[in-house]
Amino acid sequence: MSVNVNIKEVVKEYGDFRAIDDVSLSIKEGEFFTLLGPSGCGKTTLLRMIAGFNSIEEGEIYFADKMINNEAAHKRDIGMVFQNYAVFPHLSVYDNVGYGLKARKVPKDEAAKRIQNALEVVQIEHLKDRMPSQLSGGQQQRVALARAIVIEPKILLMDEPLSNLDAKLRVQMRTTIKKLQRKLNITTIYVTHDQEEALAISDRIAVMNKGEVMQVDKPNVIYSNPSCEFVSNFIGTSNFLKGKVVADNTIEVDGYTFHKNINATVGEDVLVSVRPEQFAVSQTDEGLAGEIVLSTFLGDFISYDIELANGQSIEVNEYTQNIDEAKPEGPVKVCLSAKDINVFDAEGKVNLNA
Amino acid sequence: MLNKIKAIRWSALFTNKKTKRMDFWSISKVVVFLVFLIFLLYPFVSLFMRSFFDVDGNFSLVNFETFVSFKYYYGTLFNSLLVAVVTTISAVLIGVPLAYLTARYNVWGKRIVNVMIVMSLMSPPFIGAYSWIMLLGRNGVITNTLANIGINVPSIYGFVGIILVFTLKLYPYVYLYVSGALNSIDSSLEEAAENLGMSKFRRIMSVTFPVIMPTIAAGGIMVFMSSLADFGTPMLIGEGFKVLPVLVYEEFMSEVGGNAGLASALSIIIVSFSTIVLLFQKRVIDKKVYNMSSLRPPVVTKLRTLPRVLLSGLTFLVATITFLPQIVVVVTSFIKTKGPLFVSGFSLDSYRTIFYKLGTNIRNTFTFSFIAIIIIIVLGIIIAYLITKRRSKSSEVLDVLVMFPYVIPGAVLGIGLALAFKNPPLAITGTPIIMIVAYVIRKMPYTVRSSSAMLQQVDQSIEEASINLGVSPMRSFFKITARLMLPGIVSGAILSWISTINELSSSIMLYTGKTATISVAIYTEVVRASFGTAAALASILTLATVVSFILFHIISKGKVSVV
Repeated sequence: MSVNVNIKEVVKEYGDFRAIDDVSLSIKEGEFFTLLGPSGCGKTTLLRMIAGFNSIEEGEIYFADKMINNEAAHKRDIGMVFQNYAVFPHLSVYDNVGYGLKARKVPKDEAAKRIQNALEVVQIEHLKDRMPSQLSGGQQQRVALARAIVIEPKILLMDEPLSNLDAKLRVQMRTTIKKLQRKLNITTIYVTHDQEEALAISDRIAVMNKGEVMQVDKPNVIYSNPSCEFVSNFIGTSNFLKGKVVADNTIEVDGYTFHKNINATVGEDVLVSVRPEQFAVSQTDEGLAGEIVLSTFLGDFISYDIELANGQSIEVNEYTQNIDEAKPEGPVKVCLSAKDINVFDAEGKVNLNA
Repeated sequence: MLNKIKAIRWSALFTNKKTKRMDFWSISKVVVFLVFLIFLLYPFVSLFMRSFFDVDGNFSLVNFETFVSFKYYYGTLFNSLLVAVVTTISAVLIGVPLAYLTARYNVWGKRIVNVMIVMSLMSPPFIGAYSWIMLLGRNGVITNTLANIGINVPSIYGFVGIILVFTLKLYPYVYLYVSGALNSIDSSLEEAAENLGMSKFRRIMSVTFPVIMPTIAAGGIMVFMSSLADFGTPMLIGEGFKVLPVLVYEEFMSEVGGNAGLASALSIIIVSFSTIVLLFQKRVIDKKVYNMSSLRPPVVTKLRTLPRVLLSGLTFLVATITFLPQIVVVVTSFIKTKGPLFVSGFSLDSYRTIFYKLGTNIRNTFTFSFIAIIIIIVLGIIIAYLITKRRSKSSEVLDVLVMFPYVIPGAVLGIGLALAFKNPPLAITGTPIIMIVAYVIRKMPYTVRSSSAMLQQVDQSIEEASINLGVSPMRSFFKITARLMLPGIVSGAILSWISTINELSSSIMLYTGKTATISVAIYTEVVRASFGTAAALASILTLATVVSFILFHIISKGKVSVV
């Protein structure tokens, strides 16, 4: 029932502006696939092209082997959950969920069974006679979810479904959605700008920027092996240091040299990307010279705001289980865990890690 | 291989275009544009062209030359502008303080005052003139009563009368606009000024009024445009004091020496003036509108008993004077008549006469208006959707086209239509069709505005959710979106309806014996000094208006504004 989705060299233009610039993606059957990126990156545009609400200027989109470019939106058989829920305000919860079944002319008793089932799956069976105005945001989101899955679609699309919920409910619904998707094993394309949400929920993530796909991979790979400066910066926190290759597999940053296996020639300028936890306050005299400006206790770790000799501020995290107490403000040396860090070319476009 | 891909893409493009052409909304857009092209632009453009030709059909500026060389002609422009300016000032002077009183003090009977004021605004425009003539005219009730005790009331015919009637008829625009604005100012704004040490009076002058200034201006412009365009009132009460719309009517209608070219030129002059005023509003005033998000409604000052009685009394006095014409009309409709003369005692004679003699007019009004309103609803829904949800260059043009009739006085639209459709292939002048066309074009803005205001609240994704669930776009629109905008459509349609049954200025240019409506009949009866039958007809209109207005109130639940 579930299908794979193939997006081939797709382009969307608004006048001279390329909202989607030659994007190709291949989404597997039953996969939880996330389009992640800052607002205006084209993720929602792409989702709406798949749904049929935006036309496709160039390229093709396939569901399994079927090209759907010219298939009308109402014939694509896709479930969709909208950012603002889009629950029909004049219909009860039950009728909202049954709406798509009516359109498909499903016999009444079968429809009743399926609606009942969908309501139970999202745990709002007790609300079925309520009107949407009597529901909270989270409950409306569950209605929208039930309405989308009850038609047993080939594909489920979700457009920032959690962004209107409060933080606690967001985490709770995130788990609900993930479990539901596992259970139904339905190909799901999920759009969000929240990197934490994307990392938590997805099988694979496509990071997008300015209408282009920057990287497609599993969450852990995207976090530990970002393809470029943009991804490294957008996912998690990264400190960027300007460095130079001074010898084979040896990099120098502001007088501090370390070994790192990279694909670069001697003399090349590079951009070194270091996560806060990949730094450590040096116990020896080796490392980048700096000064602790502020230390913040955050429970399981301490975050230092350190100003380097060249004036750049970096963030350094140390896990509290490894240390006794925060170091006092004042001059320190900072070293880094070379095997974990990422090195990009000077423009930040290519990952040079070997 | 590459060629093959290209071929596929080309075919995809082609079919895409094809499906686009078959799209329900694209077809609707074409139809709507055709309607405006044929029934608004064509008549107006040909009117414009006609003004540049002399009686023999040669291109010339003779019509405009005639206008500027004779005081008889250009004098009417000055008169019209003078009337519009003075009316606007008086309307602001009454409307603003009255709005402040009812919005900020606990005067009694606010609701009744509101209803009385809205009712007067919705009533036929010339009923005011008629009623004030009945009261203060040469043979008026008050005139005669005062004359008996030796007081001579100055004549209300001419400039004074026009100003009196217009002001009382039109200040409700200012009142309603300003009341709305005063009720949506967040109270913290005024509290902040108070907190900064401002006295109450200075607070009103330095915060409250500057904030509502654009609203006052918007109301004032409505007054200005209406008083510039109206034809019935100055015709009835103006006598020697002639304004431009009356001149247009005479030039167009008079059998001797009537001149369509000159009438066209005069029409163009009026339209230019109202367009300038409207552009001024769009360019200058709209930019200054402050968007208020009223978190806390403004405080209503609790007055002590004596000032409360005095201010309530004042409010009621103004509202009653405003409403007086309606009362006069209804009362006089029941007075016994002998021919055109009133005699003492009450009777239903006037009603008997109108049902016997003028039944056709009553039938015409309601038949034409009913057909017009059906067309208005269908087109209005489609246009509202196109201009709110399908934003594009062409829908912006549509937006302007729909509102264009605002700047065209009814009389001018009437002349335009009458001249444009005199000859085949579309010779509809003199038929009921042309009356209906005029009503549709002129009264559609109410429905479009109210529907699109409602539609703006309906999120696009609601309709998309329906499409996504497998219902075609057109059916989704009717099942979901149209259903959700229904209150807006109905309220707007009722306003269109009220305004259609009361329409005089375009009807008077287009009617024939067979297609005369109630308004036209009232006008002709008043001209024939047959006041009893005029009053009975006007009462029927008033009754229909009241019933419609009550319906409007129930359906809109006060959410849709009448102005």
